[in-house]
Amino acid sequence: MTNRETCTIVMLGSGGSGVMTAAEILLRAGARAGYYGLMTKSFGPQIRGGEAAAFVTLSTQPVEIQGDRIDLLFAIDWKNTERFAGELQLDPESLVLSGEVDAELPNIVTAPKAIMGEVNLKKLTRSNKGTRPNMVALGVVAGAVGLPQDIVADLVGERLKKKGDAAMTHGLTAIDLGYGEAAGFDVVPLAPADDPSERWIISGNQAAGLGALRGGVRFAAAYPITPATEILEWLAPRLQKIGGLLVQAEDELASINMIIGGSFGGSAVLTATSGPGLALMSESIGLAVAAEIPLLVIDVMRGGPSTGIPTKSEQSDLNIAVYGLHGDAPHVVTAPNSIADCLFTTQWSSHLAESMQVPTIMLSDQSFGQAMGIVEKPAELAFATRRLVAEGRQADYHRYALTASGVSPMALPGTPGGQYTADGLEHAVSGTPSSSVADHNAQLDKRLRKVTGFDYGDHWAQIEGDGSAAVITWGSATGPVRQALQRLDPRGGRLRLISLRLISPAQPARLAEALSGCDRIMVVEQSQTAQFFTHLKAQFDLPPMADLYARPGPQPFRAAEIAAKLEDWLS
Amino acid sequence: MNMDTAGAPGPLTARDYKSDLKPVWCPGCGDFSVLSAITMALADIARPREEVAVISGIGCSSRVPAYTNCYGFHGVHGRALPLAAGLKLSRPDLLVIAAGGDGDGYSIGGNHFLHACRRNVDLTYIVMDNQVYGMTKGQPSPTTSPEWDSALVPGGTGVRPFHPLVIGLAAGANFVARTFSGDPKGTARTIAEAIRHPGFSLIEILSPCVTFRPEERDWANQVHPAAVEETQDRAQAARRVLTDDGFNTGVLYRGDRPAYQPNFAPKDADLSEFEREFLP
Amino acid sequence: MNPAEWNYLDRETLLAHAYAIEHEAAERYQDLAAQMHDSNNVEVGDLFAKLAEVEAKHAAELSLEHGAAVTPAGGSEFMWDSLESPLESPEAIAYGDMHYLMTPRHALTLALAAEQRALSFYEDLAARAPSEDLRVLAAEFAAEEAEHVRMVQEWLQRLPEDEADWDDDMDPPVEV
Repeated sequence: MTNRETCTIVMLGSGGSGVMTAAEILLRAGARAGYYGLMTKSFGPQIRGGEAAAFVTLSTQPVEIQGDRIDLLFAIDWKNTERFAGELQLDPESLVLSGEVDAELPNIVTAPKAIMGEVNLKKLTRSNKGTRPNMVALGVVAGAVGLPQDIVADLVGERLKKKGDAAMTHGLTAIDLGYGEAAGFDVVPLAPADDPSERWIISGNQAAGLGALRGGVRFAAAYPITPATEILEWLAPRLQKIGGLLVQAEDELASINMIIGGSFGGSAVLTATSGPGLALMSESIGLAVAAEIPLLVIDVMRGGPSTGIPTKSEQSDLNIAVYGLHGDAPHVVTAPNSIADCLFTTQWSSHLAESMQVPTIMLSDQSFGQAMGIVEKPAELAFATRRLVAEGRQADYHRYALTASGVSPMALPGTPGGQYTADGLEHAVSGTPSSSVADHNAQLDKRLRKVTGFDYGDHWAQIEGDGSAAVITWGSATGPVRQALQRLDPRGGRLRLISLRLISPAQPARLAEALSGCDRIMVVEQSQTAQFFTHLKAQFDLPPMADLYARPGPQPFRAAEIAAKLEDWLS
Repeated sequence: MNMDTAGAPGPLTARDYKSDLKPVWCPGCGDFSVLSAITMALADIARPREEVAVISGIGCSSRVPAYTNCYGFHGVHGRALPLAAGLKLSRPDLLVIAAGGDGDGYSIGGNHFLHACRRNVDLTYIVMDNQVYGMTKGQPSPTTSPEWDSALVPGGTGVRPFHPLVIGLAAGANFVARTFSGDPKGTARTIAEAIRHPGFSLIEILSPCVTFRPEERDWANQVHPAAVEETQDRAQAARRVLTDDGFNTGVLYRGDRPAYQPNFAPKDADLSEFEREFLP
Repeated sequence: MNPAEWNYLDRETLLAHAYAIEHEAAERYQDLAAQMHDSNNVEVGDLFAKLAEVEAKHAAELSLEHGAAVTPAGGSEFMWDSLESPLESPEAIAYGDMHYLMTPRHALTLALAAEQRALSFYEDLAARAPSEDLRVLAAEFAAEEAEHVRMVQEWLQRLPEDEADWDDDMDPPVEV
């Protein structure tokens, strides 16, 4: 049998057992060995000590989603692991290793009739004083899939160095023990990696943070919320180092208004939140539309409505992001289509906000934000256009002057003669409140013109493949769809993928062009009420044969699931 | 408001800080005096108009930014303080004033009021308290007395009024004063002092609503222009203001907490250090 | 400057105060005229505008004839600042005394009180100023204010009494 190109590994254990640390080292070792990869996590609700599962996929090919099935599962213990029913796709070819001897195995493991094995962690760690079960488990798993032991040993050494020589030695011993145990199991190892290109290990939330910095964001204000907090925690210390600032606000109402204040003062600004926070912010996003204040609001979506499922993903905030503002309030809504694209799309979104002096909402989601990917090092991009500012002493300045593009030069405080009052009240060109028909119409037109007349270039969508049928999708559904299409149409030519990065304003002409020669489309999204499909039907001209596969989270899409739906659709 | 400020000779007068826009306020409204007081204070401080920003939420008194000749922001209801804080934190070079009414600041914006006091950003917060929602035609506010009858709350709220000065003190405001709009000069002096004092300054201005609370015209006879004794002791200040009749005016408390203003590192666009963190 | 310090009053300071009194009164009348015009109370608005002209003319005369320094309103310390009453410069009508339905009689009654405050300020000064030439100057200003008082009184006599229901609101206030 040839070596496998992709391997999906799960490490299970209750909190404190160290599965997350072990899995992170496993991912990093995979990256150093030249593989692509992805790590996602699933937890019980307990803040400490809850059951935890780390999913790691390593592959010679770029990885955007976890594999359809699990190749190898290692359980340090089995406490309360029934919780992961529905998440562990085991089958008779999966190898399940129990770190406990003669343990009572849960139904989720026994029912699929997986191949079973045991590693006596207790005995091994007792007879080797100072060694820890999770490091032995890491050695077993890494050894079983064929990762070089020296790479794993280096990483363990780096990790434990600060705990002292003894800890380091014990760690290396544990890895050695694990590799020794692994030899006893029959696992098909990964094919050797041969792509030496430069890779990064990065989460979607980190990528968004870096994208924001590249986009020039230097002021942020936010209120903690899962699963967006990591963006903020990544940014806060780094903003400090480069002359910026992140303020923790008292609530989302404050954070959005703080960044409105910062942007009014001239800074490129950001806040990051999730659905409930976006709901709280929406009144003030309307203010930013009316007062023409550039803002970047990142919504890392989670299962909703209400508190919903904070730690799991769903694409169900599209409606509130696109249609949730009061009044006629043109603004921009974007969405990254991969972990790495979180970097680009955040940078682009900040550029759009600044260029059009408009709030831009970027819809990331938990499956990007809290997943770590091994990705190609993202390209460095720079957008030339920044905010149009009224420079120098102003005479007869009109903040909301009517221009062809709709964008008017913005006087920043400190600019002599540029004094104006930014206002949520409808206003004349000067900013003076006005309820006149003429001013309302002129300002509404101006604000709409800014976003509809803007040239979004090719970034509006990711378009791949060719053929008479197309799958239209967005955000985190893109990866599973792409992989499904590769299976169904490995040589290309039959199926197109169109993943919208610009959700609003709609680009019907561009989509029509992208669909030329297509007579049927399928829309795939992770939302119970088909929010994306509804948006497409309302704002775009779709071919008569337009079908839909939509379901809610929190179960992530897998390629096999999408491929099966597409096969039915195509037949 | 789009004034050409070029070549104005000599020091700016209070008039120079006023715009040409006509206030929507009712004749007799205390807010006219407060506008005068703000502009007098600014003339005294003598900062160029373009270096001053006046930030507000929604309500009659929140119309004040556009009546000045400074930069202004008339935002949403209740959110003047976070907007002002965001501006001041990112632009420490500016003089930032937040202004509004009792409903805007103490009801819908109540949480921001607490945290603005606590955060102690160098802002001056001017609250024109008329104990009523004027813009929506006469509903009780957090400072309205419990028995005040209105269409929305017939027979009165029966609820104890909010005490902004005590709450401001407890939450950490660094300068606390009460003035009366009928004394624009005294109010102007207090505003100028508040601006000069570091940190978050709260000025509660009794500012009658002559339309919905015509009885407040009598405040002129009730205020004691003699100042309450100033202190640096928060507990003492709180006790005084809790036990007075609500009409004592003057600076009540002057704290010594340093303003919250993070030190900015030199601006640096080099992100390569952060990018190296992502190498495996 | 509190009354105890009036002993150190000099001509320049006295003139600056005289100018400020007239200048502030003129500015205040302009504001009040604008308020009344905005409320469509044209009659009273025009009256305040006229009073503003009188005061502005007076201020200009002080500057031209006596060389009074053109002192900006606000900021500076004035002699009346430390007095319990008036809270503002003596000749300024308080913003708080306005009513959008006020009659010319109300307006002139307020103006009369303002002129009388200015008169008593100068009378006080004429009695207490530290030198003879300052006392003479203050007395001169007092005489001018007395003339204003008589003028406003005359105007008032020509006006009819107000209706008892002058402040009946035929229309409720509007939401803005």
